[in-house]
Amino acid sequence: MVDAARHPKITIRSFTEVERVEGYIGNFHVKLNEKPRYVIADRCNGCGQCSPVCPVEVPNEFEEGLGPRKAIYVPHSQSVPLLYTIDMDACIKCYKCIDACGKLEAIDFSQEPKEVWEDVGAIVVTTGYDMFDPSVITEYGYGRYENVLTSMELERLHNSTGPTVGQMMRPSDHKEPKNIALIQCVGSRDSRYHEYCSGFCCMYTIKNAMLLKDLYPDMDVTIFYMDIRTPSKAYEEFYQRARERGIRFIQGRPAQITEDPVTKNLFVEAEDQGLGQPIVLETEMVVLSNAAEPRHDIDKLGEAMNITRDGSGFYMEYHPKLRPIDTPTEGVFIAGAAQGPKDIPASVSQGSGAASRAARIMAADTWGIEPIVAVVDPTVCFEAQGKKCGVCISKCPYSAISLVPGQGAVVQSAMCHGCGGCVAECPHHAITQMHFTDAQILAQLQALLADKPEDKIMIFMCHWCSYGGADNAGSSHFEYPANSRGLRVMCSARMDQSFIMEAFRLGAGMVLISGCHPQDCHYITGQRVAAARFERLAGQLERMGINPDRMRVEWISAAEGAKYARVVREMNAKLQEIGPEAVIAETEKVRPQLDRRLRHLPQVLNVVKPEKEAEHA
Amino acid sequence: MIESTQLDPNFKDEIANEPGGEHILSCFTCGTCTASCPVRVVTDRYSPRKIIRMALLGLKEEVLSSDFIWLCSACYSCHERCPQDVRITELINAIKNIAVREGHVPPAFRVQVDLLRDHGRLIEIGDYDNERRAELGLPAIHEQPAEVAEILKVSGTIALGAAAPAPAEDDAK
Repeated sequence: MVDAARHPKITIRSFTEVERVEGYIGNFHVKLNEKPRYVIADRCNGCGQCSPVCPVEVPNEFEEGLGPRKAIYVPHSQSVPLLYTIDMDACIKCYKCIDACGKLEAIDFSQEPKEVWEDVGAIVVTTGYDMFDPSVITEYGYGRYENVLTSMELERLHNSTGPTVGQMMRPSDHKEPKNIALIQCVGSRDSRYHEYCSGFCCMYTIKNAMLLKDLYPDMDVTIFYMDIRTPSKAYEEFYQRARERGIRFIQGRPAQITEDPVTKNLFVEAEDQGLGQPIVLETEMVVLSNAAEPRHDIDKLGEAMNITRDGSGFYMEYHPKLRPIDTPTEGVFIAGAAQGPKDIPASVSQGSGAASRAARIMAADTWGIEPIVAVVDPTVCFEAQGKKCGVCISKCPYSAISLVPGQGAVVQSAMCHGCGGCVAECPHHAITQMHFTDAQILAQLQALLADKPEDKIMIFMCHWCSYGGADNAGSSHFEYPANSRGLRVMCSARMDQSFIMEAFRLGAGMVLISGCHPQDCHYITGQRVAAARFERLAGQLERMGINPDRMRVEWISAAEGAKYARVVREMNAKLQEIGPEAVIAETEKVRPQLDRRLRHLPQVLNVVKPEKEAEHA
Repeated sequence: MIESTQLDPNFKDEIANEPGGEHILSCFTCGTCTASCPVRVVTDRYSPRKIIRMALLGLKEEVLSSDFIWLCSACYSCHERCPQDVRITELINAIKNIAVREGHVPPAFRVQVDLLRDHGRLIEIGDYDNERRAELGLPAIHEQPAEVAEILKVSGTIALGAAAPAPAEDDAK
């Protein structure tokens, strides 16, 4: 850390919050809020003369509240940068620190928060985690029983620079405990709080147990656990050493802890599963291995950069297996516990990975993107003509579209991921997607349904999931009817309702709309935009007189080949039931309405005319 | 020793399909329920974790015929503390319902049904009770067996009484 602080190309901005991030890969503009320290950074040399004279003492956050700090302080002795800060909530403005600082004149009570803008090419988010507050698990009595502590509090208690200078003592009587119980999975693997496993607690608890055994060989150390998870390199051997060292492991999750009000000793009640017997263990101190949880302000920072969160609340990676460091915003990377709980080796690996991902961008003069971006035609865009619209802006999951006065909606190509959602949603048909233009898709549709459309099942697939599902069905040899015809777009959000209507107008027997499951969508909210659209459309088509059984919406993942085959088989059975004559009759009946609804598509009419002429001739 | 031939692999699904038993498959046998259980303190025969374990394994006859499913006092301690939301109290009720359907009703329960039918309550009211109540300035209480018997009849519970013949499967529902 000290090396990083001294590096000429590294700037550390501590005590600063990210307010807003504008721009795109290679060209980010970041708005920062530099909070006032009331100490001039250039003058403070970290000598520490100010702190001893400060008369105010408040709980020290770094010591988990077990020790005091002054109102003018550094978080801990090895802080980088070593700059003092005045906690204005605690300061009584006696100005003794100013006298102590003397000639340096580093203290400045007039400082205000400062807005700072930084231009950067890439961003790595490594905001870490918070600790779960175990006081909500009332049966464990944390906060009520003095001698029930968290693992972080234990870390400070046996640390030689900690509040007790490394002298292990329990809070109630400041005596060295003869025995101690460590409890695993407090708030994690618990559907009431956090379902996930925090992952690193098994190892740090064993480490703490070993440390205590080394420092106090006579101490009786018990670990209550459900499963000990030591999967990484050399971890299992460490667990074995702990058993051989005489640490007692009891498999059984404690149900409750009670306290002897006189001795302040604790009774841990659990079931020893090895014996199938309940056990009550009297102990002088209990330490809870509480869960790691997302940072309390993870949302604010995530929104600034368009990073979504997973079901557990941590930042979501672009792909769990293949792009675990990338985010949906190109040029923004995540590493460490911001992405999910992990231990030091895993965090270091991911941090190194993120740094090299970022370095690729820094080293490049130009950056290639997929050419499938959306483009707005300003001659059609309502906003360009001074009218209110803004539909595309609200539908873009990447905030890639902005309003430029005089030009209307403008897509920032570097931020566009090419889902095509805005193209399908634009009520004025002003947006087109390169390589997936309306004309291209309609031409495919017309070719696929050129011959006996009433016998066909027209299937719209998204690139990432349902197309993969169809591929999986094929490569797994799941049979499905040969009268199905597939059309691929990038996302179900690109499936314009006009395409579905055109398929029916052309006389398709059945139409299947398929895409990712909502949680798998590769374009954040694309599937949801599509789902809402097709719910509306289904009602409209039924009112026109199209049998609702002829349209189906199914979310099929790339692994669900069997589901894909089953859905197509079921649709074929339904098609046979309805029969081609009924389909042809229905198509004839609704065609005038569909012609009217689709007149905005010039390609449709071009193709229609020769057909009709041929019929008349 | 448990032989695999004794096991009914469908038993866990049968419980999962019974109202109250839906969450049985979430159990990871941490033992919080057993360590919370006040009944377990007074008798070694009762352990919710073991019942769930046996049910998941498929020891159907052993679970349904055992008396320990009837020992649950429905205090909900395990239910509140279970980290996997197995809802053990409701799960035990679901197992009891299956047991009753399959003809496993403990004698004490049958006697209770008869008491309810005859007295409308589990404890008979005698003159002594009302004398004591009068001394304490409390109004007298009277047995209302007819109304309770009607409830027992409509719900089919009356067929479970000791005096009645063993229940047919449909009646028990």
